[in-house]
Amino acid sequence: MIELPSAPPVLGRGSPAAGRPGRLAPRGYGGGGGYCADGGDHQGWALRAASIAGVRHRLAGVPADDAYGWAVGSGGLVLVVADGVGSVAGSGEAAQTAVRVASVAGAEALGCSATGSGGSERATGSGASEHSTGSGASERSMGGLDADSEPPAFEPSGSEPPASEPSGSEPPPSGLDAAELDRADLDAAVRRAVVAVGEALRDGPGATTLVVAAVALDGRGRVARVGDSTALVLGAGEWRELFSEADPDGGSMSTLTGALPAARPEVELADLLIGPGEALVLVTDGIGDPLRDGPGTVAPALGAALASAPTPLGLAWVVDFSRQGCHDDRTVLALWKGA
Amino acid sequence: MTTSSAGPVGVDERYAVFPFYLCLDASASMAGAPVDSVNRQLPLLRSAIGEDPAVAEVIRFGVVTFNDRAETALPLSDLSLIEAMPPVAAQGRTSYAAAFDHLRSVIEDDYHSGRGRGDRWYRPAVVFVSDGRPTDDGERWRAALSRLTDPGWKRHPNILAFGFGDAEAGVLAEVSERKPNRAFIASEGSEPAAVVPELLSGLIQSIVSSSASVYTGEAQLVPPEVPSMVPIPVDELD
Repeated sequence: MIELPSAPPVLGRGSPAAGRPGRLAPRGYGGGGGYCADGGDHQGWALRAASIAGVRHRLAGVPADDAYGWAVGSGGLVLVVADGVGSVAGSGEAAQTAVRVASVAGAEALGCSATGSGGSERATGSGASEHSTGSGASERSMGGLDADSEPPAFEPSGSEPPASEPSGSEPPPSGLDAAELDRADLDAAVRRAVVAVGEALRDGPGATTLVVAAVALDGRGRVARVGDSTALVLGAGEWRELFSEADPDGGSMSTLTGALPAARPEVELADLLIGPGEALVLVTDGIGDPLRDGPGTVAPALGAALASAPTPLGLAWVVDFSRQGCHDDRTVLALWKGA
Repeated sequence: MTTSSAGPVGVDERYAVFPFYLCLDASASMAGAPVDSVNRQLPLLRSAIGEDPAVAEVIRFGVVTFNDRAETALPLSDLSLIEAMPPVAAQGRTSYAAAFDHLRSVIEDDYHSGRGRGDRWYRPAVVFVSDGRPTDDGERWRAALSRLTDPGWKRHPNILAFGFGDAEAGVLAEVSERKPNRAFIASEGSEPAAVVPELLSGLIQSIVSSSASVYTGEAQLVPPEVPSMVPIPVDELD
């Protein structure tokens, strides 16, 4: 198993203040470079993000096409990960635009003040905490989003997924104080975020996958994605996908992926409940693919390493693992619930 | 809208690979300068791909030759582990049917062998090179091609077709399933001895570029750039 560095080195007399958890900035964005790490704690939650350029990009001196972002306010958090489509020029920039637009749009829909109360857009921190359990049920809509969202930049097709509780989902936990946001709020937030990204990228250049999660402070959440960036729940060292993936035994791999902007994007939606002992983990396919391809190596190692929130640099270190043929950019944005 | 069932991550340990097959005409008409050029160029391809770890990690390369019959000259291999490329000899006629039937069989066998080693395949690529028309019956080679490209067969490859000498543009377009930018023919007046090195050099770049696309998470078959060859136009039916 991987042993993560637990803390930076102490040189001379240590600083007690340096060991305190960092406060999460109201907004944060990263990616598009060689190595990025970030994070902080917020009202009992620990958020950590890391994004690294894939081996091929690093060898060529080319920045990553991945990006991550978050926005936090009084009612909940919005988390976003995007993966620019490498074959389309300008996609790295599109991914960075997407995480900014989606996190702000999602937070506004939640009623969050995404501008926060000043301070930098990034903070680093360490520590965390306890975790919670989660459950999810996913839905797929071919190009369908509207509801409470802004007018879409693309034509919806098919039926609109209703904002009703899908079968198989669990009811919100009782007795939690912060349950100000109901499921419709969370649903509207992720839909608004996807629509806003489609609008922002409509005239190009570039294209990007997107996964966006809106999480209430009691652990309920809603996730939307376009393309193969995805969301998982980690609990007790086990990974569970919130969205179904292509059957790896179905023959040759498909390399098709959805992306924004698109006239009729395929948007998938899932419910989420982060319970004790669990974390929500958003990833690009640079992590998702080896996680699925390495059920005896990558999945248990990352599961153990992320059993509790590492330091941001510790997360970046473990995300930079070496594995044959896995040279894609890698991004992880994870959220642990504390005590 | 559909409800999909998500669940645990995969159960088998796997490593992604991108299989490339060079399917090379080794009929009598290739004798002399063309096949000599092939035998000079293949070792260069081996070193260019095999000595670049970022490419060799994911590319698997095999060579199938065909004349009256087809055979595997180089089994699908990690070129970083190959010390020498097999020599190619030219003789006999030009059976496209033998080539397509052999490819279908080899790809299926290689897929299952690879799965046993933990490979996870991208759709295989076939680079088909011929200097002549098929000498077997049209119905026969077309039936073999249909079996190779059958969309119901999950391992059906993407085919790039290249022709020079007496090769026919229309036939090559059929071989590549009439897909745009998948069939190429030598420009008028091009000498086969000059075309072959360009083609194999272009194949190296194609493999490198295709492997790079794998690493970005969006694998693509990037056609070789061969200055003395031109794309065969694809007719629109409607």
